[in-house]
Amino acid sequence: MRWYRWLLLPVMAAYVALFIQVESGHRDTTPELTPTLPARMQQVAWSYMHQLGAEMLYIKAAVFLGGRSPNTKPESYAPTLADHFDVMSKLHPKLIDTYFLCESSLSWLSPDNARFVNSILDRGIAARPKQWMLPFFEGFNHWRYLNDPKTAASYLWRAVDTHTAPRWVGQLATILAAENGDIYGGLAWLQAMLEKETDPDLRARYKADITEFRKAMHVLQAIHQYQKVHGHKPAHLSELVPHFLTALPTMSHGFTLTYDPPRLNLKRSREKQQRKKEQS
Amino acid sequence: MPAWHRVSALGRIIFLDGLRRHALVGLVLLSLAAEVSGFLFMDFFGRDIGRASSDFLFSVIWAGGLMFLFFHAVQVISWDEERKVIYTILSRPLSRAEYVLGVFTGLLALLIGLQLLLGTAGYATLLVIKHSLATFYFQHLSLAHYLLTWAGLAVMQTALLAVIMLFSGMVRGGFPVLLLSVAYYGICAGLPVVRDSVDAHSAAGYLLQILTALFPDFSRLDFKDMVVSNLSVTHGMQVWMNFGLVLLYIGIVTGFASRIYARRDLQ
Amino acid sequence: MLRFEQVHKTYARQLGQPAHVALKGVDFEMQPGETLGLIGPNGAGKSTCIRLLLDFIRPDRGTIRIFGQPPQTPDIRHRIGYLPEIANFPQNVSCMEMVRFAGQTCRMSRNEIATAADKWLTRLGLWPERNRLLRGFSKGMQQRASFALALIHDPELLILDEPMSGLDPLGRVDIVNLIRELRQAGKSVLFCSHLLDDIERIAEKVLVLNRGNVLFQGPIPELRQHENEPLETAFMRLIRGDM
Repeated sequence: MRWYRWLLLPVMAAYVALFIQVESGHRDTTPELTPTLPARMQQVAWSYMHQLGAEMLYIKAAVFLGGRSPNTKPESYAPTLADHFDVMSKLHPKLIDTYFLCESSLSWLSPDNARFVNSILDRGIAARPKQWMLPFFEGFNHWRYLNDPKTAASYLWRAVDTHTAPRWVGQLATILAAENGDIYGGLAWLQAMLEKETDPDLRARYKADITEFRKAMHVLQAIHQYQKVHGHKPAHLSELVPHFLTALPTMSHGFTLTYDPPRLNLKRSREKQQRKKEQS
Repeated sequence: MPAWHRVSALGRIIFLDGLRRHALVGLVLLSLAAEVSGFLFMDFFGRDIGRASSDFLFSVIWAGGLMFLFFHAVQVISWDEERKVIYTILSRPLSRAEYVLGVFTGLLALLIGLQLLLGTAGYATLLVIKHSLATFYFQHLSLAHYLLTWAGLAVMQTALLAVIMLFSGMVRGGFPVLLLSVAYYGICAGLPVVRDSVDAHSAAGYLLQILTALFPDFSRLDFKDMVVSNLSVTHGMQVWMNFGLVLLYIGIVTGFASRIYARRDLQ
Repeated sequence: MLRFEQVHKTYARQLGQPAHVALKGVDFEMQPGETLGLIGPNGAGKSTCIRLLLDFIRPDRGTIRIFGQPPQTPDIRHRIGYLPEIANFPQNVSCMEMVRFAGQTCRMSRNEIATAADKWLTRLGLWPERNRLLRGFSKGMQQRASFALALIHDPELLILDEPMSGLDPLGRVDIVNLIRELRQAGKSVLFCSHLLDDIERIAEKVLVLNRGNVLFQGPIPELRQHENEPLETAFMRLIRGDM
């Protein structure tokens, strides 16, 4: 096998020559761009990872909330729970369960928690604009925990704007607006709701509410006239009679006018509503 | 040439010895089972099943060959030395170079046999998958490209085998040969990636280019992306030059392996 | 036929071990047709001599010639038959396949291999087991298979390293008779053995080695001080004199 010794040198020379040729060929060619999977498929594939992460966190939070003892102080877990909802809503904003659980577990703890929950709900509203419950929750939080019926009303109106909310949401929005002194806004909403409503019972209710709102509007207009004449608003509603109003209107359907200068509020009495329910 | 019948005689012994090892029989059965599991594997994909299945099958063929190389081939010469079988063999009119070539030939026959078996089973699996699906999911299957890919894979593993013979002649013991062979494979796999990240016209780029002569870029013989394509088989000279380059490389490495082993004392 | 001229061999130093001098200027010759017994205590250099003859190792200094050529020439092993001390074969090969391999390396045709295999395997009592895998052979059977491989190509020179190893008394008698037959057929035999009785029965000449030195080379009667001196006594005297 001595012949192979002499063969090795020319083989090596051939290898070097061919190597140089191959290398120059690879340098000249454009690198190959391998085909990629369609975007839709990749969006689905990658988004599954985020969705999976959010769902795992949801399960973790839900298992914790379901398994904790009744004596557990909320302060001990609220911050960590809040972090979970924060991450969940960022990972997968469209996961509706995040917002339900967040609303039910954190908003009632304190006004600060309610504000935090609202910030989470804002993400949900942006991700799921047609979901009426999310602005409804936020409105509820503003009314119930943050004592801000005006902002509450605006969120309820947003819920109504999704066109998926039940009808009573709009009515509630008008009441909240009126309670906060925005009687004109409430009247405008009621009239808009009356325009769209086809159910005769609801139309009758709206008309009844509109009548009460118009009475309140008369009083409001009288207050404005008083202010023009005297330069300030009246201290009591009785000062409007007889020069600006013939008489103070008698409110019905559970509505009462309250005057908390400078604001005129139209409130719906819940006790009277309850009595009315019992009677019917 | 009279030397080749001595080489083939030893190659036949190595081939028969390997063929009757239970471990290799197990490897073949495991690889075949993995290939057949391609039928189940394709269920996980909603589309592009042809590409996924052919990738999977060639990965199985590649893994089977690598297992043969790293768990059997690395140890053959060291077994012969440790068990003193080499004295029985080299007491024949067989030179050291013929011994190395004989072992290489026997192991190559085993490797090619394994690749043929797995390649045939793989193609049959792809055919069955293709015919069990609607055309949309598996549109093309090119036999020519399949054979080209298989040949590329076989040549790459033959080059690895030649390098294993070189290391077996340089060091004693199966484990050091295994470590060196795995390191060599790792360098061959990683070097192209490093080259892509370095400016080709810099000093480092030229150095890496020279290193590619010692550690060939095996990806240049990887054609599995084309198995399910409808491209024409006629390629430019570049493909055949890559084949020729690696075949020359195999010849050189085997030649060096023979020369190095010829100088060693058997102790 | 065979010549060692001032052959030196030192095994390189291993980790924590000093270098081992195996042969120190060994000189000896073997003529065609001779039967030379290689004897010496453990570590004398007997196996080193055999490995040098078969080109398993290379000498540090000196010249070795077999049939007028250096041991590195593979072709001279057509004319040599080697029996290792411990028979070792690939595990999953049959006796017949190994014999066929041995014949093919010596450029024997298929018919020649078949004839020689028939002859030697029958002579060594292995014909019924020819297709059995060698890993299933007993130690004695493996030794006889190894003998068959050494004889299959009708070599001129037989190098036997402990030919009786692993054999029962009947087997040993058989091998002794076989070696005598080979001698009568004109074969040259170089063998080493620890059994001085076998040396005495088979060998015409002995080469006594101790610690890499040749202490004696020549016919067995010249080793004895007197005619009736047992070989063992003569051997021990030689070794003790060297120490």
